[in-house]
Amino acid sequence: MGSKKIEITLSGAGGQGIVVAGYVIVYAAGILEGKEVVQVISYGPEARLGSSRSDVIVADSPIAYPKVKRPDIMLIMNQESYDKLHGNLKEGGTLIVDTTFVNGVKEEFAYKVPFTRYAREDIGSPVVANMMALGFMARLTGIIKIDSLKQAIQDKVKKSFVNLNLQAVEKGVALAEDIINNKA
Amino acid sequence: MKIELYQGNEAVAYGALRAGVSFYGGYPITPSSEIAEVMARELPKRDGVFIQMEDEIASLAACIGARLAGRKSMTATSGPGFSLMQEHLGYAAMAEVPVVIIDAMRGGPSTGLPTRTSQGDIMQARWGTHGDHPVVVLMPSTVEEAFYFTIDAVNISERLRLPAVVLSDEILSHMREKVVIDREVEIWEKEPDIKPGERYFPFDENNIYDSGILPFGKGQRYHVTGLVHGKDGFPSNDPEVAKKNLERFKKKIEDNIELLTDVEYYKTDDAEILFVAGGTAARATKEIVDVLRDRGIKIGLFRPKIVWPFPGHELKKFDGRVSHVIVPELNQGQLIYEVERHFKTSLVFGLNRYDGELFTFDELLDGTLNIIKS
Repeated sequence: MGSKKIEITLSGAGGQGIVVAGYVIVYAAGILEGKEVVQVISYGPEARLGSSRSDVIVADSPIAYPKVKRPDIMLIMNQESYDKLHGNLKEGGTLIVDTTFVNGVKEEFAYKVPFTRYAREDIGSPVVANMMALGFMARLTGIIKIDSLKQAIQDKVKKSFVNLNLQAVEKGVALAEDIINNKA
Repeated sequence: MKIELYQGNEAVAYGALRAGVSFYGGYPITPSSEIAEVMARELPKRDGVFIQMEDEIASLAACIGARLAGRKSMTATSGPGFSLMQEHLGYAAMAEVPVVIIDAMRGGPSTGLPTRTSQGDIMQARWGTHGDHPVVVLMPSTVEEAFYFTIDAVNISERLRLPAVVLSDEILSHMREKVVIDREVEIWEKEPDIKPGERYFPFDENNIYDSGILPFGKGQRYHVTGLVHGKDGFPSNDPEVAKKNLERFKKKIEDNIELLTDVEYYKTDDAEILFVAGGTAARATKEIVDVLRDRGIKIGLFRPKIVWPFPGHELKKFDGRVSHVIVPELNQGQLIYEVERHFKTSLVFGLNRYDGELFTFDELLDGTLNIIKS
């Protein structure tokens, strides 16, 4: 059919902002960039620390099957998610891991970044690790434009937290650029 | 064109507001709670009323009362709450009070799997309350449908004066998609015009459907009861009256079968194999149709958007035209009972998953291929 479809799985613990991160992607891609999008979430009954997963699909044409089959891009933010899900990644897919909480990553091609540690140390708040990871992902994969990501944060995040989140995005973008430049 | 990125539950709530719902009585329960959240936030701004009741029995009772006082009313729940609502669902049917119930299905029975999906309430939505009763049940597949089907549910329930149910499920309720929110819709509204000195009989032959219902406080007294009743609403033990009561209910459905028939035919024209599925299961199935069509298999999907009354009169046209009928459901097999009775020659098979998860794409594909080969 020739239509493009990118599948993304975001997974971590409840409270790490996995659902919000997925929402920001679908808002940026769907509303700001006019693509077809769907987000399906799954979580346990706990408000915090249960597992939390966000499946996002971005496509050029309408999406029928709503869940991710084999993700092109995967963001993993805790050990349980890594152990359970890393094998699902599509061949040649992009694996991004927050090594603050994940040890023993087997894939050599994985991008291993301690987002939460950077967020805590550089930005002063661990809760923006999700947005840092999105900035990283956006710069690395082009799944959404950096500008759309920033706009999405301005549109949808509570005013008093916008700057903190934007700083996190910038940091994520810079981290990705370091990697891209080192490869070049 | 105005586009919003809604979650299924938000779409339901905004659809209800668009349809003119101005009363919500409910008790929060996962995975339906966001509907209550939106209604609690939005209704007071629009002179509407939101009440959190002590439980789901009271919630539906409040809605019925509010509707009799002139407000279009809605509640939302999930399996355990839907079980409790059955009593008043029957009451609304008997008293002929329009009301809309959203059931975001989750794993059951009992409290089951609060955050996981299911289609286990398909039969309960039809037969959960006792007695021969009319009910209309809609089953959206997309977030946009959740928005517009809720509007349809309000309109249908108002026109036919009966309870209408929208069956969502955990996946759809929490799914986010784009919704075009400014498509043209008709909102049905009517109040009986009673001349001074005239007496209003809410249950006479002129007031079965499309008549509206005169709210309390408009100068007419009438009686509302769950007992068999005559045209004035007062109880009766007369077999003739009892029969008439039940025949009114049947008439609501039979006279309006056109309004109540809403089916999507997806690539069914030349189909030799037919899926019959609703809601989230249907949506997953659609992609299987595309994949198998690419492999040269003539397969299509018959998707009832209104699942009750079941569009058997449309489905049975496929009997003998297709060799296999496959019914994918997120339960141990409920819709299949209704499907089977419309096929005398084609073979009917179920495909079921009931662990709280949606079919994986591969299991749906392999399951289908195994059935076709059999």
